[in-house]
Amino acid sequence: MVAFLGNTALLLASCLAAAQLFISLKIDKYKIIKYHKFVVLGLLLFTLISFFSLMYSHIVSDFSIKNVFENSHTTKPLFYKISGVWGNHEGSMLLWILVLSIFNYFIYKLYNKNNLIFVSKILQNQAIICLGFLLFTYLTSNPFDKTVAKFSNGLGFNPILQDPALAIHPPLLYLGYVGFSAAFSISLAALQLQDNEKINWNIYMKPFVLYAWSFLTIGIALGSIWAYYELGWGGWWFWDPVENASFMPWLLGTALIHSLITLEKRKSLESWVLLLAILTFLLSVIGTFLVRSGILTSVHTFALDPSRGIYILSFTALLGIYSLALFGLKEKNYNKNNFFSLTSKEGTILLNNIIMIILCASVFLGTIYPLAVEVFFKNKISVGEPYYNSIVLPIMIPAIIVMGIAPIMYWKKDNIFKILKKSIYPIILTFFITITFFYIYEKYSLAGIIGIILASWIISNTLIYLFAKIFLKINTNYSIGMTIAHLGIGLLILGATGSSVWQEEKIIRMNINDEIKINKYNVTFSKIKEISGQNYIAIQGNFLVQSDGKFITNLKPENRLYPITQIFTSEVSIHTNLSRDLYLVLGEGNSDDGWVVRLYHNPLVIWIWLGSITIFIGGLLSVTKNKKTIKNY
Amino acid sequence: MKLKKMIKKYFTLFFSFIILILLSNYTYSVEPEEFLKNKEQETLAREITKNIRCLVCQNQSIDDSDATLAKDLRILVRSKVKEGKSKKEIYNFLTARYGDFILLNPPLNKSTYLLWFLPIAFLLIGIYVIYKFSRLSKKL
Repeated sequence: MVAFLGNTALLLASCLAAAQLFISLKIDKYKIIKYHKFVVLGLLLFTLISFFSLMYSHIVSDFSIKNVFENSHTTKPLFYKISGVWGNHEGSMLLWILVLSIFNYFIYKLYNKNNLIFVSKILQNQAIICLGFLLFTYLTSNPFDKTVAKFSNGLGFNPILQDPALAIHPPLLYLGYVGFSAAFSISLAALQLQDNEKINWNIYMKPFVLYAWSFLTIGIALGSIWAYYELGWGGWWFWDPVENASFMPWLLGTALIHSLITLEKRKSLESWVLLLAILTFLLSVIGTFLVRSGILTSVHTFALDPSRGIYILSFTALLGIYSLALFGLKEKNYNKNNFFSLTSKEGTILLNNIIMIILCASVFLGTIYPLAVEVFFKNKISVGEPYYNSIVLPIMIPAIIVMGIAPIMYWKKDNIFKILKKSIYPIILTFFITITFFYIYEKYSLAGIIGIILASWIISNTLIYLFAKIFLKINTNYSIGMTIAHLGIGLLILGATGSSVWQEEKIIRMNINDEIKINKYNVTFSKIKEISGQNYIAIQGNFLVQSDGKFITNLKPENRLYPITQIFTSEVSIHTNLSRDLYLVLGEGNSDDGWVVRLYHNPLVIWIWLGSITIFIGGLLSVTKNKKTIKNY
Repeated sequence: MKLKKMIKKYFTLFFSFIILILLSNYTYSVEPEEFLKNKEQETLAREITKNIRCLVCQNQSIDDSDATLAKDLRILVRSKVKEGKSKKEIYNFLTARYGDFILLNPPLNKSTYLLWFLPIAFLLIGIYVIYKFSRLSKKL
């Protein structure tokens, strides 16, 4: 019954999306708000009904629905029954649609008496995207498909996905991906305007981009945190295709935010911003295609069930051709630029954009290259972490150096010597911070030195800017939101560098009462016992950590067995403080031979997460400011 | 009450026995027994295993992987290192057996020229754009 309701709502939502498209094309502009109000609210209502029907089915374990049967289990805790809704392909597409229609509603809310044509055109483009994804879900990935349940408890759920960070990771990530759809629609709407209808479209685009980018940042960070403590390898970023798929739109989104500022302040780069907005969303869709179609794992799995892949690929191609053709035809209306010198704020933003594009193109190349080799050379290759670390990381360096001073530079033209003179305090501070870190951690390597200098450079600059702005009340041409976001990047680089170059690792076999020393910590294996959780059983080790005889913590790693799916997982135990993580994994073993213990001392890891949160806060602060601009416009 | 406690106790014992049996069949990533005595050789072996893909996993090196196949390969690599084989010889041996797919850092050959050189081309294009732009802006 509920499944029928959800399915019908999904179908009705598709009809309303089609109606929204039709209304935007046909209805007279003075009546359009009334019609749009009806379809936009209807679309939102029906996607909500559809989404909550599926959620309800998961909560009550309605196993007549295939999606629930395959992905849920009666013994699953309620929280994970709910997050299980988007923990699978069909449900996550439904979530994607829900977020799309929420953004669709926010676009509708932009209507006022001056922008009727413009907003109706945005809604027209948004309707195409909504319709595309609704039909995709309804036809190829319908979450309400029925099944005849063979087991009464459901097929269960992957326990490594049963995790709080991963439960809220997809919604945040989708707010990012899908938020870029608004930028895409706004860009197309701007291109569709006649000369006499022109409008400052960039003011409308900026808050959406800032929102999307901030949520994408925090979404990626959450995925990373999950990988860090759940996979138990001591690392937090693996250049996995799935990670790359979210990182590429992030890079282009970063470029987009910066060039939007140039456009706002200096009326330059207008056509470039339009193109960038189109590309960013196309890349989000391509990322979805790559991840969802399974084509990256193997061309063969893709070939087995190509219907989904082919649909998304054709839809992406359609969106791509439509948007890029429109851009090609109308771009000349927007290519008036105010010229500026390379040593100016615009110059630094141009550099930022070029580097982000190169980075994105390189990551894209690495991600799809194995596929290309398989198709053209009939050979299989892997492109793993070493490739990205040697190609992608060095390209970032110039962008980070310039990032330190760019905010205080003047628009149009600045003098390089004056900038250097202004940077004297940050340079001194950078020097001291770097020396301090190496004095504490003592291990030197080229990557480490470069990373720490860059991190200190950003942190010193942003702290000085913040100090000048907040305490000295100096009137500046940079915003607090931007400075905080930049500070976050500095902290993130600090954490990333520290945790990779100063990581210490011990892998040994330990018996009860054995002791091991890592860095300045003595770790004693004090006991091991069996425990049981709601849907798993486990052995749990207890390790006493001391430093100079002082108690620090008890680490309690677990090896879990989920009997339902017969899956083993290793639960890492981590003790975190501002300067380091102690990271302990319990391996195989028994009471005679002892247990394998993997122990890591990971310096500064927490700064990766704090940095990401700082970026998120900075981004949101900027949104609030920019939303006011629309209201006053 | 006493009976309840006893049942609980036996149940726990039985329970732990089951867990231990089940968990003992499960292998994890690189284990201490696999390490080579010679520190230099071990460092080399570790460096190599970190660049070898676990063929039955998704995007994992054999050093990280808990698959049995990965363990076999780790032992194989270490025995080769012990024999005094160089990094290159070991890579060649492995790619002859399993193909280039096994290397996480793709080797430079006919099929990977574009992979390695395109990013450099992107960079050159970027530098060219900046150069062009600086010429333009000087005329101002």
